Amino acid sequence: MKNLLEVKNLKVYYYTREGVVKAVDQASFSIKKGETVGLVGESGSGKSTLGLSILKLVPSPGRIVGGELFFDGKDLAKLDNKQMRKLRGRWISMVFQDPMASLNPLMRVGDHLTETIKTHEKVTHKDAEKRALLLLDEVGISLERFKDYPHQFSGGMRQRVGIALAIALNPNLVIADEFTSSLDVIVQSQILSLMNNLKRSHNMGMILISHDISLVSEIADKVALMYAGQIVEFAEVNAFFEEHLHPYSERLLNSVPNIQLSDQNLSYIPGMPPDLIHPLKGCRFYPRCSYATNTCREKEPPLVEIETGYMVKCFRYD
Amino acid sequence: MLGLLSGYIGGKLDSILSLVMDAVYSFPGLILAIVLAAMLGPGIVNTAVAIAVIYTPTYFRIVRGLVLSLKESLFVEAARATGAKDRTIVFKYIFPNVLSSVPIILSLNAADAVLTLAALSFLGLGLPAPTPDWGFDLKAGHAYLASRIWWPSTFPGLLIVLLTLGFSLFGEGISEILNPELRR
Repeated sequence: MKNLLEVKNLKVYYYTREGVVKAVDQASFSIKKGETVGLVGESGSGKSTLGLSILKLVPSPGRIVGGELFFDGKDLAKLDNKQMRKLRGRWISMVFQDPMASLNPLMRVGDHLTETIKTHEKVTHKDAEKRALLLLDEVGISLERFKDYPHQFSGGMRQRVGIALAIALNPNLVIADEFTSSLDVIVQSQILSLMNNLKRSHNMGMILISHDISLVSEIADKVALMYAGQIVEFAEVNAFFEEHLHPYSERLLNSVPNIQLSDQNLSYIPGMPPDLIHPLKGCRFYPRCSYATNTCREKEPPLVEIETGYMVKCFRYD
Repeated sequence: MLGLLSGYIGGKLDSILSLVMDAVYSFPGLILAIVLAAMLGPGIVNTAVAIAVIYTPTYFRIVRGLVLSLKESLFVEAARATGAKDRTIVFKYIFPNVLSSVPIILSLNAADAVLTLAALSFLGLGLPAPTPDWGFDLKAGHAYLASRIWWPSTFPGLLIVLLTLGFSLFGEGISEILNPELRR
């Protein structure tokens, strides 16, 4: 099947006063139609930046400085602002992390939806409203709340509105940036299953950005693990959990707490993630890696495909 | 309005407008008003212009500052991610949110403007004689203060205070109407 989105050697740098922060450095992955890719990494590993760069919305002083983005065969670098604007929301949309802050406090919930529909399609206000009502229904919000303001909604309800906004125009790809992390676990699972159902019924591709590997394992088809701005492992979910070949993946999965084993100290990965202003010359993970060799210090490992659809960035599998 | 554009577009336009506004702002308000009023001569329009000029920079600065912070806010970014046009973002997302804080400044400033107008009239630079004006009355009454005739200057003064207070309450009321979160 053809790739819906292809990210090739993407580089996104932030030009700060302290220096150039290489937030995303040579990241590559791809996603097929209707597929969910979980983009996993710790804080500051560049996953949100990567998500925003797909919409070309990296906030200043950040810039996409290299690499290629292909969406549906189109090179996004070649699109001007106007074409890009038409793409956002219509073909690629986004669900944000904080539903408390991602809605306009002075705009009725229904107007958010109506407005979005009218931006992209030439429909009358009435028709747009009808569709907005259907959308509310689809995400499980009762219709009499159409004219309510965002502050009258709870966090979970607002995130439902956020999802309704994202699917309003039946996009091919939804980027969900930590969209459940500000909600409690019960609401989290509700929202997650809602999203999962919608994704199926609308046949949307999804990039699920998260630091929660167990959440990703539940709904993603593939996992792209990020470390220090790079994708270090990219594989099918099941294969990833069975093999987790990169030393970082191994340490990461070992750190997932297991409630069946009591009296066990939580294991963690010693050391700190590297400074992205002065990244290491060799492999970015080598100071924390128990398999590190001299080669790792000197040279950066390539991202190699060791089996079909299984990519690892480590010399042990080169 | 200028603040809205200046803050949203940024760049050179923003620098130039800010510079001009700061230049106006750096004059002490009342003195500038006196100079302007003296230059333009007394009269309703001229006095209004003088007062408008000295208050513009305050609005400009506050609006611009608000716009700058709103521009970075998540809901504006979210609007961008749904493909909203710049015009929509400015008028439907940023402007209403700025507007809700303007009445508060407006009420404070309207009160202040009344005081400035009174001060101008007091100095004979405000409205010409036949037009009734509390500042003028205040001045006329002032002459009698020494002879213990206190009422001609006291009542205009009291009324100025009342009007000022009225504007403040008015501002509060407006902001409650504009902001759905304060509405009950």
